[in-house]
Amino acid sequence: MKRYQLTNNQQEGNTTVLTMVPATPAARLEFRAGQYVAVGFRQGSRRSPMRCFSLTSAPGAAGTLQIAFRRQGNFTDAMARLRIGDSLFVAGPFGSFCVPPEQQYPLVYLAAGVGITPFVSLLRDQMARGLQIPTTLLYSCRTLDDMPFAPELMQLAQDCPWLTVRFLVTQLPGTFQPHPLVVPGQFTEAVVQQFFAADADYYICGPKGYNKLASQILEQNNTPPEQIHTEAFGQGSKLGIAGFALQKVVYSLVAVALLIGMGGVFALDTIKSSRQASAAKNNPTAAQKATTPSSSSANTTTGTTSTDNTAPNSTSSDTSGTSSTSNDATASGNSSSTTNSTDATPYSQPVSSVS
Amino acid sequence: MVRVQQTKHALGSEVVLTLVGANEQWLQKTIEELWQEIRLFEQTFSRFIADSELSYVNQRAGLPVEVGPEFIGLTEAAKEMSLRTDGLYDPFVLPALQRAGYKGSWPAPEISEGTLDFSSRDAADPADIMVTPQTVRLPANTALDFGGIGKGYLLDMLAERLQVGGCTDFWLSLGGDIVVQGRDSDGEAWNIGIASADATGLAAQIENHQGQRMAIATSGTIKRRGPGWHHLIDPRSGKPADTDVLTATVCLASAIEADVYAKCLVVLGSSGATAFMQGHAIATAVLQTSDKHDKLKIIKIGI
Repeated sequence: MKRYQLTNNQQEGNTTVLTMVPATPAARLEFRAGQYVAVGFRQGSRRSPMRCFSLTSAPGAAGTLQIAFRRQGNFTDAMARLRIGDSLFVAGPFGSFCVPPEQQYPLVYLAAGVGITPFVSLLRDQMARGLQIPTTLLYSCRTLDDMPFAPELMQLAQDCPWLTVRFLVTQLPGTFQPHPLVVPGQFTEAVVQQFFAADADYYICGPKGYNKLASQILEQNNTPPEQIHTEAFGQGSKLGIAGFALQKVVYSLVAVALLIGMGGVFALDTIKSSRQASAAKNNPTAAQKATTPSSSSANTTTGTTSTDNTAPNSTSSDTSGTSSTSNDATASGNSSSTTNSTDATPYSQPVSSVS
Repeated sequence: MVRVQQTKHALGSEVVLTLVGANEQWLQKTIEELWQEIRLFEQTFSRFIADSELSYVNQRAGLPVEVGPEFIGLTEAAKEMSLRTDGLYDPFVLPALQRAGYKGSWPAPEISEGTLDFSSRDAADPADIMVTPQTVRLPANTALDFGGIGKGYLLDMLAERLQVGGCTDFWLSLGGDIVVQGRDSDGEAWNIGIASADATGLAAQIENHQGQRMAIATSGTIKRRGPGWHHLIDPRSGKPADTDVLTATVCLASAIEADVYAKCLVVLGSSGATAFMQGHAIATAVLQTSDKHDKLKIIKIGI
């Protein structure tokens, strides 16, 4: 698992585009265009489950990774709220939805909705490598607002004579003016046949139903299976779900282990106490020593304790530390409760010293 | 209003984060995010971590190395501060520091296991560091260290992050380098103490009446030292600074400036400090010096 740092968070309609860089050079992940990664992030003191996302970035861009996704639930909502500088955990890359370096035949990319993402990476990579293979992209969407990366793809279509792009849009507003790149209507065999090439390699990525329809259309047109490459797309990937289920099991086991452990400690303590009690009948001095309360100042190394209204919290980090919270009891700012905590709290006010 | 504070060991010293706000849960979450920033910073810039980005760059001195935006930012800042201090701040002192004896992480500098040895490398002019939007190239056979600037840079970054995130009342301490802003949970101004060099208490106090952002950095020779050496290298001689200043505290709006200038004042000694302070608009400072009889003298400027 590699750690990355978020450098950009863009919201385009219902789609979020996250860009990240490796936290250290050693964290850099090498990948091929068209592959996907599993991504997680920190939720409080725990890590989130991992979910899979196709990369939209092209390899070689200073180790930068970019993913795009629709906000569809708690996980993606939380991902969309990540801020620049936040850490993400990345595993992979996975998948073989890639164009071979030695590709010579034309390419036809069939994408639906957020299934466009691997094709963005593939096209950016083709641009970067100067791979001017005749390429057609048919991008199916429900509405005009539903087309992430559309401006970039339109620009690519303008700049690259080897690239043909068509947006198949099911629901167009009545006021829509014809556009050379926009084809009203659904993804159908008739549309595919307009761009069909017998020797092309077809790459399909979208929801299950779309993939099935596209594959059927190609098979009906006698496209050899080895020329059809499919990437099933859904943001609730098996890896993510399996990871989450595994996490649940792990937490349950840990909870059970803790309960057993606590039970064992309690039992031992009870046995010890009863032995001490019976020993005390014979030797009062030993019992007195045993029952002397020990000072507890687990919070601070200096031995002071907080007299705040709330009990100090223990930190949940990987290094030992202290924490304290104090409340101002009254809305008017009366400091009677905080004065006490100020006097007793070790770091009520800052002190500058040699660092 | 609630005050939330957490203390941990990081960056080779004690770090205290204190935030004030209305929502305790949000403050706890924000503090956790700050710890993440600090950990990431340490993993990127620590010369005591063999696979940090800094170690990676140092091992490739002479070659352009792809680095993250944070590394670019701090490198640019180091070049700028070197220029502003006429070389008194020098990010290339690491070889001299290691030759002097400061090899491993404090408080065990003699244990250098895991730390890369650059003691045979040369000094260089920071102006010769080549920086592009994605790469850094050090002059060949040199080694960079951000020991004299990193905490200040990080403090400015954390403070800005808090401000942007909506937390405007806080104080943060990275091993005694401090940034404060706003007020405490009872509405009172933050009072910043300056530790006495003889560890008997406070040499001075500064009250931040206005609540504006204020950075206070203290540098000195009393802490990170060993037999015959301390950690403040005078770039002019390449040796630990021979100075009568035990500690220098500088108070400015920018933590990176306070951090760097405090060190410069120690290196210059009390005789050179006045001109430096005038030339760098330092209106509030404390110098703690010792005379030949080891008598402590506290000089307060603007307090």
